[in-house]
Amino acid sequence: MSAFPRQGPAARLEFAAPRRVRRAAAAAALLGWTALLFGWSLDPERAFFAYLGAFVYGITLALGALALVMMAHAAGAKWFVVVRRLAESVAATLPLFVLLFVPLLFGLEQLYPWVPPLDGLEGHARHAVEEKQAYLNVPFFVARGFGYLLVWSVLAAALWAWSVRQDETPESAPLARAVAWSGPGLLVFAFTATLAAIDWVMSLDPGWYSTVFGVYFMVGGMVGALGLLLVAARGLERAGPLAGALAAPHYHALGRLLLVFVALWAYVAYAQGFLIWIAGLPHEIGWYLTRLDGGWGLVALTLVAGHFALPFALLLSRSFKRSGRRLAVLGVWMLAVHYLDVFWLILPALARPEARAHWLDAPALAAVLGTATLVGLWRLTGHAVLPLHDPRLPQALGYESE
Amino acid sequence: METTADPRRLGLLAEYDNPADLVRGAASMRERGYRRLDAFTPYEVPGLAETLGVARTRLPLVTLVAAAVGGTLAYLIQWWTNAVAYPIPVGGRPLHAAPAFVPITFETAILFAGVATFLGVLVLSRLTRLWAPIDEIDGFERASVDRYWLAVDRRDPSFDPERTARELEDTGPLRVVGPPSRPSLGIVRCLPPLILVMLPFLAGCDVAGPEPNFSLERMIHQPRYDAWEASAVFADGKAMRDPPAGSVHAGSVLGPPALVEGRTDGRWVEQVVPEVDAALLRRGRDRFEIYCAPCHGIDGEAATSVAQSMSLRTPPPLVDGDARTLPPGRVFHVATYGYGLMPAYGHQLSIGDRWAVAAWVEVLRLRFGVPLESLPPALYERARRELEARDEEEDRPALPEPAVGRQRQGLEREVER
Repeated sequence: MSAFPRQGPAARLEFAAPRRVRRAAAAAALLGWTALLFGWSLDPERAFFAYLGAFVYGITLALGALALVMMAHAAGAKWFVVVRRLAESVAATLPLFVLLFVPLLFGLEQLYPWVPPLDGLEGHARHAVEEKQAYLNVPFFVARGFGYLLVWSVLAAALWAWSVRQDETPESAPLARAVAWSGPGLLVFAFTATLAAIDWVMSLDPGWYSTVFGVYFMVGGMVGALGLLLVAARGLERAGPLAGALAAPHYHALGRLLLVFVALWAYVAYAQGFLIWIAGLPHEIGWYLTRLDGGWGLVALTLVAGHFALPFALLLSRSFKRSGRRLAVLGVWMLAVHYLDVFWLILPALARPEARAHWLDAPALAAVLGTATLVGLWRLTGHAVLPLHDPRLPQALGYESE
Repeated sequence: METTADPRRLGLLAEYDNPADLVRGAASMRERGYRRLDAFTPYEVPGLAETLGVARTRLPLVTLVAAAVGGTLAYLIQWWTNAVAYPIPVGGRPLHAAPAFVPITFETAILFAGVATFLGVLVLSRLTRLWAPIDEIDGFERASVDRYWLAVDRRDPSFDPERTARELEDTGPLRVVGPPSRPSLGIVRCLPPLILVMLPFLAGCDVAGPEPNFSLERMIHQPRYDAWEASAVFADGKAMRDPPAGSVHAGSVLGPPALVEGRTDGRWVEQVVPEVDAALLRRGRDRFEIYCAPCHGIDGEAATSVAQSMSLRTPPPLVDGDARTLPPGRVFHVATYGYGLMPAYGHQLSIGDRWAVAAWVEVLRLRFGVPLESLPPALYERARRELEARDEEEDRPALPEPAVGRQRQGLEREVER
């Protein structure tokens, strides 16, 4: 770590995406969009569900990264400075999601039962939808969606702009603004992300509601974002740009944070499931009955084991948390189970007997993630992978932890 | 810091007046091959533990094991009490309701982990020991104020009293000392703090007043009154106080006596007080068949196995004999307060329910003893048909035609006696 050139030429730190990675992302995006378009012409309903899953997955990762950056600023975490630029570049893909939101608008009728005509609804669900017309109507839904995306895009773009401006100047004014806006930013984020979770995911089943659902949505994103951050950090450490900057204590801190969010996810998931289970009210338990029926029950069990028990047990170990290699492997795993979680939330709403994994899910994921990766790499290219001139950078590089 | 304070281990000690010298001294002794080193400092000195090669604490393992034990124990207790020893089905949920067991399992795991960690810190850092031979060294107490001590274990393979002393001197300490020559009675040193800790308990003794009292008699004979005792304190000479005038006994029901007691001016109410309609009768039948029928029978004829078993004081039939003439007010009153061996049902049945029962008893009485042939012809034919069909099915001789109800009643009465 001492070998790291703190005052050395910034050129060495400048990020240039390897052509191989850029090409892979571009190919995934191109193939993904083409296949998705083709699939849409065959089975529009299933295509929209696949796309909603990929969209929610991608945006929760970006939102998780945004929240992590703001949390680190608000808490004054010094060690996080080492990986902050990576998290910022993930969050900086949020403006892309304004565009990615547009295709969803063409599938609202296929996706959301509350969109008129309310043919498939009866009993409690129909009554609930009729009562919620003031909120659940198409124009308001679209306006709200763009509203959230605008707020997040502005937050992410501002944090990114301040951060790269800090690279140019020794004054710490840009950083001070980022810190000052992170506290209120977190409040705005919590509020909008909760509403987005209600709009995009919860309203797939308009008769059902859970007050903790927004937290579940956000914490799932944090877990995914931390997984992504671990993979990216380890990758850049191996490939060169971050070599010598990242050491066991940084991984230790990231591992501890992941442990916290894995436990928080389990807590929220349990609290929601337990309260609904013990009350056993017909209009609440139905959501779970669908998601525990047949193969979905297996998915739910996999989530309990893979999204909580396994990472929790592994992350208890100190030596595991201090190993970048092991954490990166776990990061890949967390990214996978987070997708499974999103899939499990969304797909059972597609009331079809064959509502299981479908070939269209792969191109949808490739399209969203490929495009987002391209945007993230494009943002990062030409900038240092470490926030230079951040007054806490030396302390962050020398971070020690027991 | 770990302390090797065992007298058999004490080799030599060096005293330094600043932490940097101590760390340097420790490093130089490590370089010379010493491995069994220990240090005593007033606070945690950065880098010292690494220099000494102190192993990481095993405390996390203690915490983990305690959490696992606590969680397992809590889960098993819940499972055993709820699903095995005292099963009560709640809301149709399974007796072994795993989701409901999670909070207590979790909390108990945390409790065990917390307590074990606290005790583990005390035990692993040997804070449980109030005295050690090393405390006998003059000036060693400054290890908790402003001096920094390095100790070399006697059992270190490189240990040699003279050479080690020379090598310690080379590291530039204030002084090098050997173990205390005079073994001390450690327990004696423990007594003052123990006595100090126990001193506050003396506050519970009543020995300081003008009349010291060392007996326990005053716990047995306490100045207080029992119920119904005489007392000189009050003018009426009673220890117990009467409730203030106009007090109402808790839980008493207030209302017109006809409705809540079933009588007015000492006479039983002759009619059911609430308005009798189909709903009231349905409710009355329902309650009657739950609460009354086990003894008095579904039809009020008291031909039940419970009644047969109570041979000394049989529950009477309500539709025949003496009890038939009891007015509804009396039936209501008995339902409320009980009669003879019959317990009171005032707590289980509301006023409305008890009147409903009284109304249903009236219905049973109307129904009882009606001869078959007095039925309208169509109904009579149907009743006959069905009774005969039933009797054939049960392989019983057909009953004589008239007054079937009464005849059967008579037979059963005999069996009962």
